Amino acid sequence: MAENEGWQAELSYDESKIYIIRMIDGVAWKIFHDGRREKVEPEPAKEQ
Amino acid sequence: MANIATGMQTSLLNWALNNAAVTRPTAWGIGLSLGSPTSTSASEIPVGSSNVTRQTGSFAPATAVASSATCTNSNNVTFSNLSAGSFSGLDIFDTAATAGGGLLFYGLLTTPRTTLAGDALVIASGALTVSLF
Repeated sequence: MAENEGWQAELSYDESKIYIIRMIDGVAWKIFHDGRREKVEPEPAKEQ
Repeated sequence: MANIATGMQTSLLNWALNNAAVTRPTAWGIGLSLGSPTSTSASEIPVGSSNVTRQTGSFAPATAVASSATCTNSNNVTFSNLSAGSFSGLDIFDTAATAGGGLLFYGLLTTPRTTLAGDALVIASGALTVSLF
């Protein structure tokens, strides 16, 4: 950046952490920007 | 200034260069935009449109990295039950309220996300970094 261009902000992203959750045939899937899918695993039950 | 809203530009300058009062936000909101936000227009999707509701965001303390400083989100931001659409931009506001407040920073997603009705869009903790340089 040249000295006189002033301040700049930039928003950048970890694409692996931005995803769509979609229900397909009753199953929830994470869908990533590259089309990769990953089944949403249920949260483990908390110990009482 | 790229990706810094005009109100935030004023606050930055006043904080650094004079004694004018600058009010810090105490909560932050993350909004989605369909178009391209600018320093004077968030291009935010109105509440209720596309089922989008601005969500609360939080950020970890800034870290100096090489020639810039960065802040990264520290919570999962989930936009639930969206309508079908293509979401291309993100806005960061100085309030967690679902509307109003002032725009701080804005930017375009590297990859716009196209949803079907009922989808959720998740910006997980650590996914969004704001850099100032």
